[in-house]
Amino acid sequence: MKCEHVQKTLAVFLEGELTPDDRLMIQQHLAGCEVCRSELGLLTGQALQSLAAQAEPSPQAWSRLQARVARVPVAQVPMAKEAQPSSGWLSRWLSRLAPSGGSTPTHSLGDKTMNKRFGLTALVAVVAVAVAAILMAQNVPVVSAQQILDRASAAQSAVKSAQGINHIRIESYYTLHALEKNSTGLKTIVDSYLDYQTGNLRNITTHADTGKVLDAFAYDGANTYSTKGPLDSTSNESLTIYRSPQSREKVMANLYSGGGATVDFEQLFAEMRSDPQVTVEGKQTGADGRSVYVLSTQQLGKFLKDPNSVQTKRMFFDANTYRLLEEKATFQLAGKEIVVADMRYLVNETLPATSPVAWDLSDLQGVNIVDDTDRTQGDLLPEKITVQELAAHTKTGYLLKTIPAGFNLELEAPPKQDKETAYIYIASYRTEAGDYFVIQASGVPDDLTQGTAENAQCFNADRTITPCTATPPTGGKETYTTAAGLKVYFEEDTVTPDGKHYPEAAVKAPDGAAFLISSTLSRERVKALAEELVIAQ
Amino acid sequence: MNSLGDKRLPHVAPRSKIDQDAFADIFEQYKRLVYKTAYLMLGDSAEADEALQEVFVLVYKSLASYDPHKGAITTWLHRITINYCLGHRRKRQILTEPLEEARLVQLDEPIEASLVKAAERQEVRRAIMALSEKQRAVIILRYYWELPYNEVAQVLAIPVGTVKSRIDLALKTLSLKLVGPKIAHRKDVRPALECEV
Repeated sequence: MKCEHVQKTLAVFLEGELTPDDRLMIQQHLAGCEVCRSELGLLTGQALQSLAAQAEPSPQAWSRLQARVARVPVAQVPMAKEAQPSSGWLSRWLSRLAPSGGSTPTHSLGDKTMNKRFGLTALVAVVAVAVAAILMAQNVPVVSAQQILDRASAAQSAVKSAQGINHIRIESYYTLHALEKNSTGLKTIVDSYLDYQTGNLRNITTHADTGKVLDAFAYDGANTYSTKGPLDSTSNESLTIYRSPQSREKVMANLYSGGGATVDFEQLFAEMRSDPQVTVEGKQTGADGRSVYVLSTQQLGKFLKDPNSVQTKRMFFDANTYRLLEEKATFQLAGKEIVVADMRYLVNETLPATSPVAWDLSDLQGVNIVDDTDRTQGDLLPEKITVQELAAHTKTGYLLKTIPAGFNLELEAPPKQDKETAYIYIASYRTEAGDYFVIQASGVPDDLTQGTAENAQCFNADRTITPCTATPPTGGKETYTTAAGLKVYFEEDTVTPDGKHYPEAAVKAPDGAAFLISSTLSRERVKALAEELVIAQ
Repeated sequence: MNSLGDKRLPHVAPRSKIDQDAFADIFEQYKRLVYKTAYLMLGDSAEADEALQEVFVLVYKSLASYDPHKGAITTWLHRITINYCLGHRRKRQILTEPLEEARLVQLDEPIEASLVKAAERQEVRRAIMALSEKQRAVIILRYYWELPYNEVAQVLAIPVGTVKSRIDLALKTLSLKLVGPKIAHRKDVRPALECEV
């Protein structure tokens, strides 16, 4: 059937006047003809014009609105937030950007948020300038921690909705093994640009003192630039960066996979908000004269050598703009305060979309950029695979026995994987409504379940430390064993800004395979699905 | 939402500093943009009225931080409106008007005219409302507001490629709803085609 004929008679179809056979024929044509589908779109637009022509706001709309806004305090800026926490590749992909200096790539200010945020720092934007850490106590705070976090969240949302190139520069300091002697820590600068519209991005990690480039990742519209991991800060080598051709579509798809650029400050604030121990320590004046609110909480030093050490985490907010300026984790040792981690947000802005940025890293000094035309060294963006391909690649590729009703399965894996290490893949079960159950096999089974074991210690409200109970009411750590013997180590739930709890777990199978699960479903549902995990055939 | 009494915080701009006239202008100028999108998204005039209120309360709260140099206000408004509607998880009411009431359309009528009639008798409306919310959003932005792909992408904060594939999928679904076997019109049948991009 010819397009012309189809388009002429589309309207007739809408009226349902043709025979079932004709319908089928036209439908088949539409299924395979983009031109005619596009025509259908235009006709639909006209129909919508007609539909909406008579739709007018109520005459009382303005007076109602005036009454509503009269009760609204001005400083709130609650732009609608977007979707759920990311379980996307990018956060994993970019997690290498976290400062080096320790063996684990997941170090943080004391929780998992930092790692996620590191991966996605380029995706958020606020304007902030660092304050000196020397602060003087000022007056008694007049706001609660909750209010500060609400306002910080609102300020963040407002800038997040801005358009252009997001630019953020963070100075970060970590002492990963703070209880060890002679640990000096490492201070790095992470400078990130991201253009939402084009997908161009650039993340450079440099040594704060020497300026040496330790890690890089970028996309210039035609090539990705990636490394095999950050250089050790003491290394004399130059960083090797692989330039691999890659389509924009692929980069964009991964940029936004798993719900988009949503793991951000809001998420961090939400986690602080759900921590009952967060208090306003005071309103202080920084060395630059700026007023700063200080929030603090006590946490177990999860990444310190002594797991029972308690660290104080502080967040510093500009008291005028409510933007997060700094986060700092410290602990007390022999009467001295030792800094474990310190993140300072030096720049956090949205630049005009036309701003010149060297996406191709041509400005970097002291690095080797090597062409990787067949993408065997760098890039490693995942590509779609079939269940059969998964089974062919690995004998421990776990999937759900059947795709749950209402879900679709998308299976992806980075190409050209090293046969010596565990196979990396991601299986995403998603519903139209946005729920997901995602399996991520990261290729490093041993690391996955470390620190998530049964013997986790919990820090109590009365400041004592006891083993965590099996099922803490707030959704803390928990271990669940399936009938098949898979151990499911639940992490603390990810809490969204609107208070939803999303389970995350590391799973270890009897055969040694390990993978991560993240989901929007309830913990009970996740457990039920874990019972359905089988090796892909 | 937690409100914070601004009396206690002198650095918060007093309400009077927001230009009430400017807000009134914005409302007058863009109320139809918001209302019509909400009407098409939600399929109900009362709900569209409520959406109009909620969206402009958000606009009011955010106005001080809106920077016109960073993007068109229409993009911003589209985004807030669509986000409101996407989050408005009400029970979707698929219209169940009997198909027998369809008016006959003469074959020699121009396409536009017959489509208008189709709209009048809710055929298109029913098909649109049977799309997923996300698919409906792209169809409305692309074909009702006639936004270019890149602007739809900006509004929805998704890549242009995703916009294109989502639109195409929406059109496939739509074609199935509109011209497929009549069974596809029943609310209890959801074609397998209708999946997320």
